[in-house]
Amino acid sequence: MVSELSQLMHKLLRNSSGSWRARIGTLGLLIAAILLLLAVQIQSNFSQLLESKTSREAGTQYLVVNRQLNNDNLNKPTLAEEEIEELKKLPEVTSVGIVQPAYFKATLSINSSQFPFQTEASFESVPTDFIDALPANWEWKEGDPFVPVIVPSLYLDLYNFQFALGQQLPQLSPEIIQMLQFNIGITGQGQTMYLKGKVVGLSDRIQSLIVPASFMQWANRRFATGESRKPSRVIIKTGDASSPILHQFLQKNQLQTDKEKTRFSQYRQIVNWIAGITGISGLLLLVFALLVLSLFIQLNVTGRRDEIRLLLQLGAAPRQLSAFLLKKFFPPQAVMVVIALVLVAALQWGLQIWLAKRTVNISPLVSPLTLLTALLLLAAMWLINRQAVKRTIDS
Amino acid sequence: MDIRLQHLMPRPLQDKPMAAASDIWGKDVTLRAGQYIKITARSGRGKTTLVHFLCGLRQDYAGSIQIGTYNPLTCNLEDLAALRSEVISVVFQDLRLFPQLSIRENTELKKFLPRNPIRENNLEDMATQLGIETLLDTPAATCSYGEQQRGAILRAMVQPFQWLILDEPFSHLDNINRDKAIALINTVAKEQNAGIILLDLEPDNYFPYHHQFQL
Repeated sequence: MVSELSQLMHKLLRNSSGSWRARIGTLGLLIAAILLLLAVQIQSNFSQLLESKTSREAGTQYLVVNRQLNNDNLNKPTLAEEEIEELKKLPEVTSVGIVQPAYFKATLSINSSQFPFQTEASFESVPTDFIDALPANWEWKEGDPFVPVIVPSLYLDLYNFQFALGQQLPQLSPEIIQMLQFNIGITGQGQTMYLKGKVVGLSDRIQSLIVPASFMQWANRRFATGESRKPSRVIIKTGDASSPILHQFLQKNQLQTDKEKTRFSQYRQIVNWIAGITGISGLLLLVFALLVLSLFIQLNVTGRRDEIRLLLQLGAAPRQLSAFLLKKFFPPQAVMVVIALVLVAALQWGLQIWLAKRTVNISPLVSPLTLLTALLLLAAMWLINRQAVKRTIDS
Repeated sequence: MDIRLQHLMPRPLQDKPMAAASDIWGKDVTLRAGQYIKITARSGRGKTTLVHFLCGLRQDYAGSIQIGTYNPLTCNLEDLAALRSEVISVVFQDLRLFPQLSIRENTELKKFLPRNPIRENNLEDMATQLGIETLLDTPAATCSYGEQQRGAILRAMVQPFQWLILDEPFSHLDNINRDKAIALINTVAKEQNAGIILLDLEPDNYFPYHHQFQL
C-alpha cells in the first residue's frame, strides 16, 4: 500500500474511534489474555506438582496387602482370586505376588555355649521379583546343606538395641549374623525334622522371615495339616503408593496395607479436587476471555464501519483495505497477548522463587502448554479479526 | 468508454406513472464517451438513485447498466473499486467527505486509491481556482457547506476518470464561485478527455451539453 495512503488511513481510523473506548477495550483484552494464560499455567503447575510429588515421595514401592481382620472373619481372612485379578488390573499396580505362609510349626535354635538361642518361628515365601536383598544363592532343593533365610532388618535392630541390651547378650552385626548357622525344627503331621539354616540377607521391605518358594512348597506338602488354603496376603509393586484409586480399592474391599506409605493419598485426593475446581474456573475464564476478545475485535472493526464504507465508496480496493485493517488492528492486540505472556512468565518466575523457599518445586519457566495457548490465542484473534473485517467490507 | 442504460428501472419507482414519462427510466440510452450530459429532474424522480446505481452503491433496479466493460451490478468488489477510483468520479449530493480529515487529506486520500496512484501535485492550483486555498488544512467538519462542496469538487478532480458525475454540485455556491468551479471542471474534463453527467433540479447552461434528458 502507498505509504501516504496508509498514513492517511491511520489518521482517519485513529481519530474515528473514541480513544476512551479503545483504551478500555485494549485493557479488557490484556486482562482477558492474562486470565486465560494464568488459568493454563496454574493447571500446568498443579499437574507438575502432583506428578513430581508422586515420583519423589513414592517411586516404586512394595506394599503387603491383607484383609482387615475383624471379629467376623477371624481365621478366614483369605483373598478371593477375583480380588487378586482386580488388583492386578489397577493402573498403578505393576505386579502382584502371592505371599505363601507356612502351615507348620517351626523353631530356630543355636546349640552354642557362648550363644545359646531358641525361638519359635514362622516363615513366608514371596516371588523372587519382590525381594530387595536377593542373594545369589537364593534357592533350595531337598538334600541341600542348609536352608537360606532372609531376615527383616527390623528383627536384627530389635535384637541389637532391645533384646541384647536387656539380656546382656552380644550385639551382632549384619556380617556376623550371616555367618551363623542355626537349626530349623519343623513339626507337623506327627513328625519333626531338623534342617540347617543360614541367614543370607537382610530385608528392609518384607517384615517376615523369608525362605525360598521351593522350600516352602516342599515343607508345606510334607508337614502341613488340613486342606489346601487360599492365600491371605499378597505383595504388590506399585509406582504410586499414594494413588487415590489404589487407596479406594483397598478400602472398598476391606483390605489393608502399610498405612504410612498410603497416608499421602488422602491429601492427594483433596489436592485433586482443588485442581479440578481451579480447572473448571480456568475453563470459565477461558470462555469469558474469548468472549471479551471477540467483542473487542468486533467493536474495533464495527466502530470504524462508516469510514470503511466510505473508503470503499470512494474506490478503495477491498483486498488492500482488508490487509491494511488487519495490519492496523492485529499487531496491537498481539502485543497485548505478548505482554500478558511476559507478565505470566514473570509471575511464574517469582512464584518459583517464593515456593522454592517453602520446599515446593515448580518450573521457573512457563509451561509449553501456556506458550501453545498463547499461540492458539493469536491464531484465534487473527481469524476473528479477518472474519470481522471481511464481514464489514462485504456488507 | 460508453455508458449504456438498458431498460433501467428503480424498483421503488416501478409502478409509478412518472417513471413512464422519463427519458431514461425504462429506455435504452447510450451515453457516448466524452460527451457532456445534462439530466434534469424534479425532486423525487430518482436523480441521486441513478448516481448510486452508476457507481454500484445501490442495486435495487431492473434492467442493466454497462460502463465500458464494467457492470456495477455483477462485477466483483475489486473491479467495483477500480470503476470508482479510475473510471468514474463523483461529486455526491451529500458530499461524503471525512469530517475529521482536512480538505487536503480528503483530496489526497482519493489520489492514492487508484491502482496507479497520482503523484503530481497541482492541488494548490486547483484549490486556488476554487477559492479554497486557505482552507486546505482545515478539517472538513469545520468548513461551511459551500466550502465543503468545493472541497468535494476538488476531490473529484484529482483522480483519473472517464466520466465525471456531478449531483447538484453547485447547490450551495454563489454565482462567482460556481463559475470558477465550472471553469475548473471544464479544464480538467478536457485534459482527461472525459464526459460529464450533471444532474440538477433545473435546466442550465453551465456546460455545452451534447444531450439533455428529463428524468
